[in-house]
Amino acid sequence: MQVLIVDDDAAMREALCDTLELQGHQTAMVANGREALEHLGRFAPPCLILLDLMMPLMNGWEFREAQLKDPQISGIPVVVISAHAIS
Amino acid sequence: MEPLRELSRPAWLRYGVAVAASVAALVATNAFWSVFHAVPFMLGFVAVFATAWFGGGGPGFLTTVLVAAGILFVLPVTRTAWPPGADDVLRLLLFVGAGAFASALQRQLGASRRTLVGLLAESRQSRRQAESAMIDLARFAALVESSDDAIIGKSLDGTVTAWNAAAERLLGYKAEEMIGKPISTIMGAEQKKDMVEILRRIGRGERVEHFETVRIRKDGQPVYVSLSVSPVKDPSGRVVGAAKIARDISERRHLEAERERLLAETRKAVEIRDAFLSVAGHEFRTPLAALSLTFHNWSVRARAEKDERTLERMGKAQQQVIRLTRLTEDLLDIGRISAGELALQKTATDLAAVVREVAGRLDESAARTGARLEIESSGPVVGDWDRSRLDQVVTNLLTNAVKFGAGHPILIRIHRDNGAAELTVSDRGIGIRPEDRDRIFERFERAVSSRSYSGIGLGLWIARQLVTAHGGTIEVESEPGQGATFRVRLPAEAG
Repeated sequence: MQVLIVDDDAAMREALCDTLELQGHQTAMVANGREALEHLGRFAPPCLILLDLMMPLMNGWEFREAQLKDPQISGIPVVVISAHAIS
Repeated sequence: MEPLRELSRPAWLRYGVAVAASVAALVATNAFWSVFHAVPFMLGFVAVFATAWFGGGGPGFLTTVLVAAGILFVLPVTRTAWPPGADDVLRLLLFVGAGAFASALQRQLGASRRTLVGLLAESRQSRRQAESAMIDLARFAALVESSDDAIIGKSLDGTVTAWNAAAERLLGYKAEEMIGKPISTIMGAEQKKDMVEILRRIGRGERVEHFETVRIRKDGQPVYVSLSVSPVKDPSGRVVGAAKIARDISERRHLEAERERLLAETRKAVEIRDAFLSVAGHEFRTPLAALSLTFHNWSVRARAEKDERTLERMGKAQQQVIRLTRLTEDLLDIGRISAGELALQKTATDLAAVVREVAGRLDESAARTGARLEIESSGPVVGDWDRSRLDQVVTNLLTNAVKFGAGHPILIRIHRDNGAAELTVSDRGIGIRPEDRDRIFERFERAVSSRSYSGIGLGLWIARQLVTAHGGTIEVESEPGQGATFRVRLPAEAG
């Protein structure tokens, strides 16, 4: 399975990547929402996006808004991972 | 009243002297008859005057009678012819009349003197009273003058009639500047309205006590005072003015303001602390999650490669991450609980199952201290509770029991009791001193030295907050050295 990891924390990004690869998945990593949109524009859509919320340049909420507006990528399932409770 | 000197003498003496003087006058007249034959009553007169002077009118009169009788009936035996001649009778009558008159005069004089003495005594007493009143007045004036409280007299129309030294100090006006001036000189517009009300009450004869208000000093600065105002009445009881005692409460107001400020500062500091703990807690979460995942990945690899040594080390490392995570969650709970954001996700939960699960997790660390966790339950005890929060309560209680249980067995009992679930955790460890029993449920409070036992003092506070949020209670029974029993009661439907 192709998974895109969107997280500004490099340690977290790499740990997630390691975990998924150990389970036989393929991963790509970006550091914020803007890089994620660029990545999605250039490469084939992944099966799943792991999305952090608090990120610089473009945060998780802003990325979701942009994603849902773009029919090319709006269908990709997203799992939010965050240190903050979502209210 | 001072008695008359002659009347203060005993009657026997006064009348004895009268008899003696009469006899002496008669004997002397007889002895010197050649001298007195022409004026036989001369010495008698002297005796009458002397006794009247010495003993008053009564003895004077007695002397008159005795001398007259002596000259009439005794002297003739030796000196004069009997019966007496007409001249002698005339002289006798003259003597008796003069003696009686002198005695009566003396009596009258005595009465006048008595009146005079009485008046004198009365005047002395009123002088003493006047002096004593003057002293009282002077003492009172000194008291008023030396009072630390401002004392101000005013008439009912608000004119100042008295102004003591403390009033001068408090308000900056000298007595001579204020006496005769309206009291409103020292009032702001707002206070003038109050004064109308106060004077109305004073006019009715009421007292106004400890009325806190503001007065304006001569320099324009406001001064906070506590006023007590009493009506001043004339002798007929009519209210003619008011006496006002003003106490400077600026210092108290200042202290109150200072206390308010410190309280606000303390509250703010607590808010900042809680906010900091919340931010710090969130910041810890991401690296902890990354660390946990990393250890997990390494364990997976070690298991695949059958590297038992690494697997064991990773397991221990994971335990430490779990500990750190729990501490972080405790810190985050402070913020959540303080902000009232503790949201319980209640589901049907079996307390006995939660206890078994927590005990299973803690078995290993309990065993390291030599303690054994003994669970006593009669079966499932189900209630509508937040399972993970209940887990936290049980974890905190069991962790404490292991930590302070001195390696003795720990008994955990779960049972249902009258529509409530009851969980007791009893250790036989160091126990808790009576004075610490309430304190241990407070934030960051610990009953033991941080040099001997680790921990930040949040476990029991969080446990109590969570139990209270479930509508339950938590309490402790303990004797120092005899261990402690924590009892948690949670509402649960009967069944």
